[in-house]
Amino acid sequence: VNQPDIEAVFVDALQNIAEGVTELLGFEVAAISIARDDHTLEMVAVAGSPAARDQLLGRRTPIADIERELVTAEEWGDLRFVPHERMSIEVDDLGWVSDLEPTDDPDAWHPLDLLLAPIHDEHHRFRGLLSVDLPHDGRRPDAAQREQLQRYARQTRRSVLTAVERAELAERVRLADAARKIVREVSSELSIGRIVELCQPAITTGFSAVGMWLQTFDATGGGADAVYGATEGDILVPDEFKVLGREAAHLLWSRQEVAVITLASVPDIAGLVLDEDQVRRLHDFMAETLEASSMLFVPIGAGPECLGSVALTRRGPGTDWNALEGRTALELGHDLGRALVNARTFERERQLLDELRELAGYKSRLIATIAHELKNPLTSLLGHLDLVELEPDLTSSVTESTQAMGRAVDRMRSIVDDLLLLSQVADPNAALDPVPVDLTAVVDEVLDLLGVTADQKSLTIVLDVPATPVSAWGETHELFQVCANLISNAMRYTPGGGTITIALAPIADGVEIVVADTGIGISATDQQRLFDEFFRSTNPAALSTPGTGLGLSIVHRIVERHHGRIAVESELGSGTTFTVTLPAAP
Amino acid sequence: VSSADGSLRFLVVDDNEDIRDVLVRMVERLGHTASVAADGVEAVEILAEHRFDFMLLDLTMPRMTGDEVVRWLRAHPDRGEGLRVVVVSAWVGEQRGHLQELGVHAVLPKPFRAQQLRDLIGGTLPVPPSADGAARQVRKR
Repeated sequence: VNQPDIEAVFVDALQNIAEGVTELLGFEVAAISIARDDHTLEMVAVAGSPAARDQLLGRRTPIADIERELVTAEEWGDLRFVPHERMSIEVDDLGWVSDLEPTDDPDAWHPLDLLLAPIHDEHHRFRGLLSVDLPHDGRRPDAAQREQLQRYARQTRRSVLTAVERAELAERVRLADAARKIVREVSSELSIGRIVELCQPAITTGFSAVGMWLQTFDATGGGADAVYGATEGDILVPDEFKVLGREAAHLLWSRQEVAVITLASVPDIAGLVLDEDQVRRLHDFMAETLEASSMLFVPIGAGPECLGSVALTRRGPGTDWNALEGRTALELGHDLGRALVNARTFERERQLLDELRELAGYKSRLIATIAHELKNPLTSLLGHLDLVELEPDLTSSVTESTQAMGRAVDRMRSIVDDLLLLSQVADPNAALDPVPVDLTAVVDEVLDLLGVTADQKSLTIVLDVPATPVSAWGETHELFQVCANLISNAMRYTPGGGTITIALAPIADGVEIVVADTGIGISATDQQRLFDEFFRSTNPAALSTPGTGLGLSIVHRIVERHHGRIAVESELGSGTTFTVTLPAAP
Repeated sequence: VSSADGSLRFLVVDDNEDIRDVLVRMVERLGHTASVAADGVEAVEILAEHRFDFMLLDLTMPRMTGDEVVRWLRAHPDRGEGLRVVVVSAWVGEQRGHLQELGVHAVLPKPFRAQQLRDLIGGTLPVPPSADGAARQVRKR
């Protein structure tokens, strides 16, 4: 509510004036007040008796009360005299009344007489007041005294107006700087609309503007500029002014200037030539649609590139934009430019991610469709194979063929099954609905399923699990698939008589599944591409073992979507260790 | 419905001719008889006229899906009397629960072995609910 404090140097100046009035013009009391935002006059300088000073300094009087007195006042040039008999203000509201004895002499000063010099600015706004009381000679001032007093009144006016103006300016700069600070703070915001929304209150307050419009230029150079933040309802900026604004902003940015447009004059904006009709339309748009009396037009940019513009409007008299505000606004244009660049970069990244996600989703759907389409011919093949095998008296050569075909069909079935699984776990749109999964139970189940293979190859299985269950957050059948793929791989690529160690353990940031074998190992080169779809090892020993080339891709995808990690350590000829880390469940 | 020699009557519904063919041959090889329908519309036309012990039903078909055939049966409980519905499909994964609710008795995922079909027919299948039961379900809705 309070206006900013005027600078101490001006308070001192006003005090000197007041003291000049008391000491040189012979008044007991002189006080100077300044208009505040809450429509009061605050006494900032009081000269005279200590009692008067104590009671009056800092006192606030409603401007309306003073204006009411002035209506009935006698006009003495710049001075206004309110004889006590005309005074309507309550005695208690005066703050200080001298103990002078009233007399019947019409020329004698009455303790309730008021002698005032109201101070208005060029726009007729009430900005201050000089008031004097109690002439030493006890007489109402004569012409000579009035003349002298007027001189002090004029000096007071100059000082008050300068002080108020400077205080307002300082406040505006402070607020504008605050607005810039806010713009810099929200630069990490990710959408332009959001940035405008967050900054607008600070910018309009900071620049004492009633309206703010931000135009961003279409990054592709097309005509799709966006206008943000009409502060007063939905004001549609005509295309003509968008085009004009774009041109003006580019010119202004290259010169690092701002432009002020007022109703009185549409100036030359950075050398841009407007024809008479355009000037008239711009005038009408400002006057009638925006209801603005002046506009500060500021280019927004980063480096050499102009990215947009912001227009700030003011309404009413005395709403010029000064040079300091212009400079601050240009700095704001730089701040907003950085914010725009950030937002655009983020927008592009987001689009790219969306596209990648879309592509991954498409890939998943494609894989799923192909896998399903393969199921009908497989059904037919398998059915007919079964029918052939049911025939009596098959020759051994036919049986050999049907068995080979059966194995081929089985292999195709595994590929189709793996493809379907892959399409599910690689689909970014398929949400994971995690529950606590007891990994100890999962490993037991996998070993039940694969125990026969281990026995056939005389593999030693070492199970290293703590007595208490180890649980991870996840989807049970997917974590089963992780364990099954890792353990069956270990069995597949470990020669007979080897050892497979499966360990479960809680660790600092989750739980760990370790599957280690004493098998053929994976070369450093192969390890690089191990999790790629359809990657098969270049190792002849591995190639001779059937596999779909999808098992580890599936494991990798599942671990990824469980926010886990997978690591491999291996040496050709001595074995491989896979370590999977998953988020721990209670 | 079943004939005196113990053979059962099958309706094979699939839009893929190869699949219809192999299913019919398997069914016949197991000593039963089979009729065929190429989609759901044909299936309900035949079901309206004839009675069967088993329907081997594909899910994804043009004109009328397997799902819709099952719903049609629920709306016409008299036509489903004594009929066991086995869904034979490549797309059954997450639909199993929903299919069971609809009154499907068993699911045979593609591809399958002859032995799996034989097991299904050979009595491992639960006894289908009576026509009364189906009618009650319809009224409950």
